[in-house]
Amino acid sequence: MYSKKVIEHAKYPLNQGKLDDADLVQPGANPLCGDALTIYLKMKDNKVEKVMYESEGCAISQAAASVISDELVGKSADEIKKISTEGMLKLLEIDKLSPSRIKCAVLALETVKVAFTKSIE
Amino acid sequence: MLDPILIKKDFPILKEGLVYLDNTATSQKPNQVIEAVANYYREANSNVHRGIYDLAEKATGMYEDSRAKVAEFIGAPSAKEIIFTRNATEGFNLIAYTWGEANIGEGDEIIVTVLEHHSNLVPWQRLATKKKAKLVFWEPNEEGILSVDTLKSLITTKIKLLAMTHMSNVLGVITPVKEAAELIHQAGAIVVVDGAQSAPHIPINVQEMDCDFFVFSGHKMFAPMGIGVVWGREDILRGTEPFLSGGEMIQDVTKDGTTWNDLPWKFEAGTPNVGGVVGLAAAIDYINKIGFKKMMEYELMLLNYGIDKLKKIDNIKLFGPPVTLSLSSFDKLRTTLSQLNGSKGEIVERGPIISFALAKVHPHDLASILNEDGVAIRAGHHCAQVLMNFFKVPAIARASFTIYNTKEDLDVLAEGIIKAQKLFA
Repeated sequence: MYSKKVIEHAKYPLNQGKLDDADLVQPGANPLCGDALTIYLKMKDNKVEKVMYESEGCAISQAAASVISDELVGKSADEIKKISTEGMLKLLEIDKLSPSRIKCAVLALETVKVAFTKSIE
Repeated sequence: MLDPILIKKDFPILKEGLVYLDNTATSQKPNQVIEAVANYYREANSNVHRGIYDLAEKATGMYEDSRAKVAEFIGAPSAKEIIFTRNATEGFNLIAYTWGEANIGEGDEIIVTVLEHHSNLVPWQRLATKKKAKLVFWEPNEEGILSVDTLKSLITTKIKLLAMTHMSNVLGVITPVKEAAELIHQAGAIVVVDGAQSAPHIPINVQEMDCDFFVFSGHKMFAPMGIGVVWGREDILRGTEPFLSGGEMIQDVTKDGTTWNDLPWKFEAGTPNVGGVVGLAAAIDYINKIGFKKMMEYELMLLNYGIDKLKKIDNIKLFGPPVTLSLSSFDKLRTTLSQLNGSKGEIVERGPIISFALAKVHPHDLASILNEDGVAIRAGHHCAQVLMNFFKVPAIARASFTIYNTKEDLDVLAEGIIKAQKLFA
């Protein structure tokens, strides 16, 4: 379950920090295991231009935030909403994850989805 | 010394090379308990206190004999004071919703320790909010040890209740219940003790401890899930209204009202978990057959071994009292044990629990990596978030053990920790 990609991103995370001119700011958490993050999204022409995040938690949740901060750039809200749990695991190159840890893997993605849903409301 | 390999043979789930180090969450069940429960359903199942046929008498006899056994197990003066619940959590709620509702009012104070499991904290927090009472926290020192001097400084004329654990589910620390109870009684208040962690590991005597309520669950001491116990002083229970209504707790019902059954049935509404109660009695037999003296000696040896082993690992922080019990204090304990007639509690300062954190590996990742090698530990806040905040950590890894664990189990744990550290190095 700890793919090379997970270890690499957990050790050397990309795009960590606060984005001062973000268009969307969304906190998210897994209260049961203590993973917590805030996602900052900068949009341009209805597509993601930059993603940054502040986070604490396990390696899977950290790696997932790092991976999507890279992967989501250039995608629209609709495209991002279509990314499934399986799609997220694929991005992390994880074959199999126990049900209790899946929520770690999808926390960052789900938080981004919440940010888009809230921005429409 | 106790032979863990022989003990292990009693536990069918442990056959597959499982290194089970989450005994604080729940213990595994020996064949003796599994068989007792199965036999009850095979040979005696019927509703208790109802039928007048032989089978019902048999079930009722088993149920009430088990209650007497539980009373003896914790040194209670009478089986009337033993109330069966689903678990310890339900027990604390029972006390909060009955005695608490009737006796705690606006401006009153409830003291809880920072060590508490949510089960012996949240019912009091809810009650305090509802009644506009004040919840006061008794903080330990940084090792997790509660000082009675600190408690002294917290007691005011408004104090009505102290809720305290007997053994921390995170640190294993055994608390000074007897000394605390003396102070609390002088102030005219009562003490509710969480014995969920202590009952499986040290002999309990509620009279010696001099508390007012003692609550524990069966499943952490080799009994099935779904059975818990509240012990309360008879005079307090007599003066308290029932918790849930219906079934066995009733004496007489008319259109105008209902009168309550005698103790302890007044607090046992509906058909009870007779199979669970029979299983609990079998678990007590199992413990008594081995004997607390042997169990404590063995568990203390393992605790010493585990602390010694883990503290040699780089970048690890162990929680709880940092001192490994030295050989001299172990000898002291042996002396105390040899004087022990099997009915006194509060000798060992720490139960078989080691909580720790690693500098570069999150507890959840450690638990997942250990799982790959068949090692089961707990990672998280352990239902003790106030304690996590006290230590300023979001999560902790915890290895907790019992009589079927071995030194080899702790070796495998230590190797797994080092493996996880290498992965993230």
